[in-house]
Amino acid sequence: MSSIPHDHAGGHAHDEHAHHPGGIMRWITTTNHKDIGTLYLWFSFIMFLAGGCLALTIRTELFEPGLQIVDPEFFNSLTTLHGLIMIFGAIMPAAVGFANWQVPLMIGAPDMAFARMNNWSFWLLPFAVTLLFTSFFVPGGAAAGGWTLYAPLSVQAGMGMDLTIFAIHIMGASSIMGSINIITTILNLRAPGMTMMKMPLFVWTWLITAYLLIAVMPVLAGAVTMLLTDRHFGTSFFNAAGGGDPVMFQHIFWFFGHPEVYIMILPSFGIVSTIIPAFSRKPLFGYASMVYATSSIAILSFLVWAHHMFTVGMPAAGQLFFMYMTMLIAVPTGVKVFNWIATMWKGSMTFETPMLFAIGFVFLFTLGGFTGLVLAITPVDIQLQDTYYVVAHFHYVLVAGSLFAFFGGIYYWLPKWCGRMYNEAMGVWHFWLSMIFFNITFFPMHFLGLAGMPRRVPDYATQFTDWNMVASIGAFGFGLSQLLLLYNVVTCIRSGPPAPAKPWEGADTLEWTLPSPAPYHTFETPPHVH
Amino acid sequence: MANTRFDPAGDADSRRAASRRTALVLSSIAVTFFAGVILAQYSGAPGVGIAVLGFAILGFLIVAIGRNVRK
Amino acid sequence: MDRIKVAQRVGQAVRLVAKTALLAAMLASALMASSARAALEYNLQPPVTPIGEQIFDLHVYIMWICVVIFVGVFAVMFYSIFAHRKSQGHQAAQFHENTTVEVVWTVIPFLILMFMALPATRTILAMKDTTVPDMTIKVTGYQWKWSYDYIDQGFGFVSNLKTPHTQIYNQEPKGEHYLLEVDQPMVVPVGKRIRVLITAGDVIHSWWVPAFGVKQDAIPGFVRDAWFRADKPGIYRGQCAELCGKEHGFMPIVVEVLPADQYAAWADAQKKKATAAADDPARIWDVKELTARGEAVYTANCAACHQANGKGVPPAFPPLDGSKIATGPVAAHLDVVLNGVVRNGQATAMVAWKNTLSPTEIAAVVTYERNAWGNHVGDVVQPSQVAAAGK
Repeated sequence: MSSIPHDHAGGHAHDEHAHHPGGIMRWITTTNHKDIGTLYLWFSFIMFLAGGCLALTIRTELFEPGLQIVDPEFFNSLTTLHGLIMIFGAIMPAAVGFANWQVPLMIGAPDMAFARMNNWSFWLLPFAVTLLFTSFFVPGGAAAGGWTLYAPLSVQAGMGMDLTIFAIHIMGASSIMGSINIITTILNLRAPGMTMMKMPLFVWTWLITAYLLIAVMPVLAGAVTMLLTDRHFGTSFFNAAGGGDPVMFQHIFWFFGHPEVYIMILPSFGIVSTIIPAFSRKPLFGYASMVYATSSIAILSFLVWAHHMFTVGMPAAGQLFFMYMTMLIAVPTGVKVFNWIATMWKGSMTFETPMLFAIGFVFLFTLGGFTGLVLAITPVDIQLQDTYYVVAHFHYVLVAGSLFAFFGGIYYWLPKWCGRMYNEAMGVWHFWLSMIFFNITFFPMHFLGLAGMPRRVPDYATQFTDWNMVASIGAFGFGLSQLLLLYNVVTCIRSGPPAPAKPWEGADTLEWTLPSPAPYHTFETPPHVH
Repeated sequence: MANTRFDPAGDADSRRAASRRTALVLSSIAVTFFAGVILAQYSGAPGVGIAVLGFAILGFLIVAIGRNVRK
Repeated sequence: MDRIKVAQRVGQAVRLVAKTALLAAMLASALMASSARAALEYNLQPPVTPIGEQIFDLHVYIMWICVVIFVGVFAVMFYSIFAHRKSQGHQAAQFHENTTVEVVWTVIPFLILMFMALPATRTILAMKDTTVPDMTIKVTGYQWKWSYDYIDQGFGFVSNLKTPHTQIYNQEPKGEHYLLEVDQPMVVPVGKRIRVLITAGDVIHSWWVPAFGVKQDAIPGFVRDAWFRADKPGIYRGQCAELCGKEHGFMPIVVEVLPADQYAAWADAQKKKATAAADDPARIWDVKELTARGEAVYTANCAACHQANGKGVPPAFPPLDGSKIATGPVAAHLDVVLNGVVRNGQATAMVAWKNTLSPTEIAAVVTYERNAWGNHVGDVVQPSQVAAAGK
């Protein structure tokens, strides 16, 4: 399937290999989905570590009450950049990296539909994050209004905000181009016999994510452009004195922002839906139901944005509508959780590292989902909005959710990507350390929020000290544990034992029909799918 | 393989020209914003920003209409 | 395979150790509660308003439903993990869909959600009903302090963080109400329905008192409202709940709830303080003091249109420097400032300042205008003249 005879019409491929640049030029000019996937994944890991350093600085300052190491404005910049880098530099690019590697392999396509645009989609990102990091050094420092950039605070800010706006535009363009690529690839390049309802669920979740991205990234671009013109061109979109409304920024931002969080979780749903059946040696339970549930979540995600704004003073009718809609999203999400557990039920499970992370995902993401439900209840949200309860909630769904699924995906597919097996014992250690330290860090934040500690503060009243100390200790443990993953991946790539084509007994998607490592060009002749 | 035909402009040359025009339009929008922000920052005068935008919009209109009138 | 078995055993051991460690840590920290620091909190602050009570109960109710569902669902999952594993020899079944079960686990959660939504709806409607208040207070958020205006009673004040910098920068031990103390708290009577009108002067802030169950964003240029009825006297502390810049963590809210008679005494004292601070209209000012005061009034009220240099922005905003009105008869000058300018029956941007400025302020600004920039009329307009002209 992947070896191409020289006299085949596609024998060109062999010649092309000879023309491929090596060294750094290979990586800069590559149009190969595997190379680009690798670029995205390494980029996102580096950004994850960078954003993690920002977080550890935050947690060091918050270890005890009082200001010890940073001044309040810089602290606000730290929280802002931590959010922007983790969301736009770590989670989203990692998801795209998985898409680039896996979508063509899983649908039997030779590459993405727009291979050259794919290259640009990636290379825009290092440029954008350079802007973000540069913003720390301009007069006024980096943007410090939170990653949500609410006006009028962000209108007041210095040059760092302009750099951030520019970076957001660039990252948005990258996401939109990537999404166009993914949709076109999935709709047009599937192998014969692979109908939509036969695609692996990971491909479905990425198809839906791509539509969400195309729908909402332009909205974010609009919001930050209005911010830019308010700052420099004398417009008053968000200035009441000129006839505008600061709350309008929030509406526009969160119309992007809520689908954005589903954009960050849907690919992870897909990864978990791949891993659990493989390690249960049983097909995914309720495939059609999973597709409908994911689609419902995507559609509903457009109807809930103002649950981030329950305290702005909207009329009761608005609060009721958004409360009901937000609670409704729990239904399809619950359906997915039940389907995963039903997949495990009466399976024949083994618990290699990918499965550990997938199970950890199901457990902790659901916990995060429940705190989301608590926050959906408007009167309770009035107490918890802008407190550490919210911080706990979104870290449960994004870290123990999205990130753990990505870890699972890395361990699962690494043998296919690099042809070598990672160290299983180290993987298990990585899992347990991450699991334990994650919970030590973020579970106490629920209590802090309930007790009344607001977010985005560099200092706090003394009654919040104990839980903050616990959280800071946990944060360092969690951060250090990630070095295990780095070590495991690097030693695996360099000198891991060779991996078979299908190291996972229960895996059944197309990529496992290829040798490990997957050849540079695959499926140049599409496979036939039954 | 996919067989949706996407050839509205016909041959490769006119497609390339069309792509170049699109790139020019998009980059001139970006340049306008950049120029406007930088000018507004340096001059400090309140009207600069909106003046830049105003001239840009008029400029786009003139170019767009002018091209069609010339044809 | 061996490697995996070893890894799993290691995993099980680690899991046990971790669980014990976590439990020990939590016990230890619970015991730590006996230290000078307040006990570890696990729940919302005890409520002292009816809405606060409803919120507290709602949260407990929802949390227990979530806990029951969570424990139930994951009991099933963990049972499966132990019983349906390959190492126990369990063979995989191959079922992979069941429409009935899908319908069941869609409908049941939906019904559970309805049971949560009903009491929540009632509370939302109660929170939004700000009618028939006993008292109204206007709360304004600034970078980085709050101001409270008792608009029915004619006094107001600014409320700043009282914690000294030496405590914040660890040069002194921290006080009991570190970061939650102010120089002048908002004071309200117990048991009365208080409506708060909330706005801001610069960026978005948020007025939050956890014990009341009230949190309302303060949005510049807009006025929102909320209400509460504090049923227990005491001092209740909250914080700004919307990132507003550098000192967002340093602008707390303190509300002192007093029994009715003590509140009345406090309000009286405040009113007396307000009238004492107000300008005496009969006072005779000397020209330097009056001009200095006039410059302040001019900067705050007039410079936006007539410019700091008095040159205005003709023709919309005429210049005052060298103007016929500002250098001509006092009566005409006072008339323009007091009554504004109406042209052809249409009001212009020059409003009637007698509605916003006191006679002292008008006297000061008129004196300033007549003697600033290139104007050197040399006369002084006293507040008593303004009061007479305003009749």
